[in-house]
Amino acid sequence: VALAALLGASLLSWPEVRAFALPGFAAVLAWLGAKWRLVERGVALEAPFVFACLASLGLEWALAALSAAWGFSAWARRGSGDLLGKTAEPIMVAAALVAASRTQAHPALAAPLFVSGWLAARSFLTMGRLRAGSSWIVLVVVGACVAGLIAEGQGAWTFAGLLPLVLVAACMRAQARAEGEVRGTLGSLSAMLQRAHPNTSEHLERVAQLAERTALELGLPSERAKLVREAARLHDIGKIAVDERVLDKPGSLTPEEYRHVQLHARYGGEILEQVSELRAVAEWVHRHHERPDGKGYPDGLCGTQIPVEAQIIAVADAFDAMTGGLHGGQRRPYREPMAPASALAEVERCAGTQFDPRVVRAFRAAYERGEEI
Amino acid sequence: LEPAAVFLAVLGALSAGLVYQLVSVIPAQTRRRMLGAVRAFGRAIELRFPNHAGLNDLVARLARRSGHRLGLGPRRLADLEMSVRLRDIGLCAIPYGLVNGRTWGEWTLSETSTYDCHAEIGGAMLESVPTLARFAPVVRCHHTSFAVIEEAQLGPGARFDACLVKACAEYVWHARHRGAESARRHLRDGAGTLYEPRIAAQVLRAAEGWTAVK
Repeated sequence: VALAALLGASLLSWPEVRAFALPGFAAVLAWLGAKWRLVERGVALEAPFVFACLASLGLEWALAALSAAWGFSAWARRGSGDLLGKTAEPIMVAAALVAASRTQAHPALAAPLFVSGWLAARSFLTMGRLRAGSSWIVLVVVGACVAGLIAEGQGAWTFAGLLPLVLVAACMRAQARAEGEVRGTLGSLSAMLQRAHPNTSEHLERVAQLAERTALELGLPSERAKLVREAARLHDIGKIAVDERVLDKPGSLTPEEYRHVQLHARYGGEILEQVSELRAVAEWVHRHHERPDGKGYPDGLCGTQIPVEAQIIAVADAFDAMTGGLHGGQRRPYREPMAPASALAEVERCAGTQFDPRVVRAFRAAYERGEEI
Repeated sequence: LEPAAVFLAVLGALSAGLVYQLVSVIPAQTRRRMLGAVRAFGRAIELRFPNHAGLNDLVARLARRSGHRLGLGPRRLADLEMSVRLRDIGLCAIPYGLVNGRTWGEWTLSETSTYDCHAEIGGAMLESVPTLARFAPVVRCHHTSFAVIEEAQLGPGARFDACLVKACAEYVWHARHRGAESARRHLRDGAGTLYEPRIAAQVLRAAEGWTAVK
């Protein structure tokens, strides 16, 4: 950013360059915004627009309003682990509105400025979740805009306004990195623990994919669907605590052995409960062998008492077990893999007793769509 | 007051708050979340081998008390707790039937050596997880005697942590199975050979009057 600022400042010291600078920025940013909007599927990067626009605004008011909004949203989300989240968006919109209302340019510019401000707010709120490769361009463009403002004699205010902005971005980045580290650690450790009991890793990955697609088909938000995927990947983690001689036993289990294996659902919930981010996932894992007719385990819940996410995992798990020739996630030498069509028919036959019919319908739709792809 | 001065003050306060978030709150949150993830796997091992239930918490508390007496700062203490909770992660690869339903001391030599592999397995597991790789040497050496650790190619921090984790873990194990007096005697007798003498002395002091393991 510093390098870009220096470069920009020296370039902008020529009036001829300055005359073309802002329209040039606007064109580049419009192109980048359009491109990223397509690539990032709605995660806009129009933030730099606001800086270009601020050059023509009552800068003090605009910066103060934005900074106050950041401060307020940081305070509102304190201790939640997510410094700035969705709840901050209305506040940022209000700040953008204030900025737009202070414009000293033509009133016709107020609406585009408002939209720019709102998009900018959204960009900064999601900045921490962007791919690492794309953010440097944002920083360079912001740096160049800063240089433009400094060249216009607004250096002190620009710095005062930008410092919290840069810090917010740094905080969000640090949080995103921390979240990635924790999730990565959890994923690696669970993969290793489950490799100690083979046969399961490919099954878990397939179940995770099927469960996520089904969740999206059911209309769950994408964040929720990702959690369902994570839960599906971890749903058999409780088997770490089950005797592998029972899990790998060829032939049928005695009632006592069956009860021992059934404990894995409760164990899985207990293990995941230790991780604060995965409390919800722990509940789904705990309930993934419950049945709508009340004949499931560990607690014999029925109907709506069972979280829909747990029912999604149950359907995906059963389907993959049938098509992969597995039983309870373990390969049984006597069990031949079923054809997908037969497995789907079997899942549908059990709708209403073993599985939630709504989830089964969504599963079929998601599976068929996946097959088409 | 000039509005501009008020705005600058607000922006300054906001920036200070954000810097605090960045250098203190977020790293502390990260450590706490990582510890939560590690605690989950400690819980998994305890569920697999119920005779280990509660050991992790006891060893972690004793290690923190001892580490505090040995002058470790908050970050080192947090790392020490991570090492304690990760030390037995290799037990996931030890056969279920080897530990459950067996009494202490009835293992054959071959079974003992199978069980002893858990430190090496745990170390190898952690080496492949980038965020936890730095704990691998401590986990690998947490049953290694002081004399051997001295000769191992470990950094001073890892060597110190390995000695401390070993002393605390073995004290708690002995106290639970053979009583506190036996554990104290074991640590005293082993100082200089099995245990680093200064660490053993501080662990004994930290355990004085501590009723949790009795």
